[in-house]
Amino acid sequence: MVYDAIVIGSGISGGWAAKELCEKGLKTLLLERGRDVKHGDYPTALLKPWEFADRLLTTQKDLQDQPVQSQACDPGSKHFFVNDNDHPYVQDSPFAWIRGYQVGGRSLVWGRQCYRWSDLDFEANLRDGFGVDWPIRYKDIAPWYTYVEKFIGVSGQSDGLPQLPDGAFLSPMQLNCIENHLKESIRNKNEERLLTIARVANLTSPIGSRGSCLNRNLCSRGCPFGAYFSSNSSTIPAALATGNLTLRPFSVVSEIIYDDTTRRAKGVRVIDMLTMQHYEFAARIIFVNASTIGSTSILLNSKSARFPDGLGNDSGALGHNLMDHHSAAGASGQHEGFQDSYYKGRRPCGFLIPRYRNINNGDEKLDFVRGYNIQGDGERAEWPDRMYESDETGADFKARLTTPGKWSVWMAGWGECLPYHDNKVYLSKTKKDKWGQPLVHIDFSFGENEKKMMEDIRNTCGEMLTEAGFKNIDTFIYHKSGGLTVHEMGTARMGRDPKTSVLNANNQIHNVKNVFVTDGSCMTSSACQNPSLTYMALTARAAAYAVDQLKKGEL
Amino acid sequence: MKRRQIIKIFGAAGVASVFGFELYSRYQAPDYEYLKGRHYLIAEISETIIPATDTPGAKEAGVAAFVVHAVKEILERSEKNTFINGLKKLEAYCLNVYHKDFEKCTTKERSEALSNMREQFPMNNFLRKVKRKLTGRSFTEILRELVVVGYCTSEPGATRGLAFDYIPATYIPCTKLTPGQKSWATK
Repeated sequence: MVYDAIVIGSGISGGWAAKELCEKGLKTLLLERGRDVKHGDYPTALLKPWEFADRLLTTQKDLQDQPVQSQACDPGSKHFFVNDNDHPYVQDSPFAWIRGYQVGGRSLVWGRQCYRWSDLDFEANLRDGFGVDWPIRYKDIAPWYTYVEKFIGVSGQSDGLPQLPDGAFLSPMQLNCIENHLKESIRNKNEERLLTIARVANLTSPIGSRGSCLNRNLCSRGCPFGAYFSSNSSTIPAALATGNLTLRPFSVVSEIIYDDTTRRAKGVRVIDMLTMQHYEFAARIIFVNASTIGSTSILLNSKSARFPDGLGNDSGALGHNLMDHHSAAGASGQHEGFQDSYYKGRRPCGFLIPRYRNINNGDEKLDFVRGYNIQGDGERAEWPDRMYESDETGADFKARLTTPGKWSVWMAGWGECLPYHDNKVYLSKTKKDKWGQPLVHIDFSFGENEKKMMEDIRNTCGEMLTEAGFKNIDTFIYHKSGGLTVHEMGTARMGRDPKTSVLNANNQIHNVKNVFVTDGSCMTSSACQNPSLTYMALTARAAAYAVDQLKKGEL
Repeated sequence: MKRRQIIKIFGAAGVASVFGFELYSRYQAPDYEYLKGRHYLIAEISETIIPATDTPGAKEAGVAAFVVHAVKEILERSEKNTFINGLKKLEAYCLNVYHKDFEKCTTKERSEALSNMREQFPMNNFLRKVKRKLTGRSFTEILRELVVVGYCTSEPGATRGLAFDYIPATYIPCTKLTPGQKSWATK
């Protein structure tokens, strides 16, 4: 049978592709390389700390099974992250490739921060010359941001900032005492800086069968109440409800098959993860949503007479310009005030200080281009911090351990990473995985611009805390490898020129019009905002375009 | 001068001569037989650190069982040995100084004995860093961390020693602290 559409990958963007295509009447095959996870199939979601044998500490066995993934998960969520030994890759330089191979992918464990881009971001490459120009501008994507936000549910505060456009928000989460204090101090000292509550895909009022957030802050275990957005809770059920979706787990896509006569892709080759059997599935259009590095690996592995270096790789850009945000620099400090104040509940987000550097066309004369936002949170010291406060024993120690200590704020900069040609992924010529697929090499490092930006983050964070009366301020730049912000982007970038980019303004491969790539691999630059909302908006936009083109007989 | 350069100058042999025996003792096969027989001792130590007061202590919270489990499953090899050797040293100290077993000691003696176990780190800043890098955390640090985690994540510890709010429903950003209020068990 020939499907109308195949979607490769069921994570945050693949779920959107499946939903949009199914709702527009296309018979759609959704391929997922990992196991199925049905909404509600979250075995640790309701466990109490003492119900974990290891009490949420990472074991030696965990470190053996998940040497990379364990940097991003804990025993409450580790079953949503891959076993690194089963899914190896080659680190030419240290790069943590964090992966969740299951239906829903990493949408089950994402950070849920939702920030729109602005033209400050879409015009950045053109303005300073790093990378190629984005083929779209804010006005092209703005209605799709709104469309996506209304479906997923984003709680947030409208702030009227040009560099961080407001969205269609549910009522915001609330800042606590110390965060409000920091906000006031920042407002008094720096007019152009604003501390606001994070904008997150956690519901503050129900949407359909999805309930409001219950402030457990256990999102990465999966939410039985559907109170944060995931493919499992939201887009896949919507796609299934149309009757047009066929979901096939355990389906490793080895390549996209190119047809020389029609000059179109005609389908995909799949290896069943469990039986090792090979299958071919045909479709009129294909959406590639296997995550940034996964999607590019499939394209690189899809070789034909027409495309000997990978599908759609006329430009040679495929695999290059890998980006990840850095989030290693910041500051923390303690405050001696507000000793009679506390909070109740576990808010599943922190605060945001939107970008305040290089927003006025470089008139600040900084030694770096682009910018960063600050994310952080305020809380009182509780037992995990207080156990190190003294080395006394007995009742005095216990009293200290079990009561709230000083307030503290931790905050760090999420910074833009420039697109560098040398930061790349490519396929091994000799090493293969269990399914006979070539291993991916990752070669990535942050450049001078990112390092200078980290210094600035450390300094401005330290200043803001000092000005707000914090004590024991620790300003830091951690040694973190690429990948650990889990915002990998680029490697199949959009652009105006087929000679320097892989995808056009509608996320179509320039010379293979029925293949759309709409996950992080399409990103032409990285901005500093958490990127998932943009992937979802681009996906919905591309799906609408694809269906329109199909109806017009253009595809 | 960069740390790497210093290591080159000192050389591996130089570092090994400073910490040689200690290094060896930390990489041998952990003495689980000994550990298994010291459940009662760990229970007494943990109760010394977190005693029963108006709320449960470490014994009632079953901390010793967790500590034994954690030494086997959580700690890396050198820290397993640090912990087990530390227990042996503590026992020997009590016999030498107080002429009795730890569990027979008074509360004051127990606290003194535990304080005495605090690592004597080299005075030299660089050697101290090397030591930490090579040998991991000290007995006192590991012990304190495992006892605290064992207590604060147990049912008695979390629900009675601390305040456990299973499903908060709402987030109230600013509340007034009430007299005697415990801190939240989970973040």
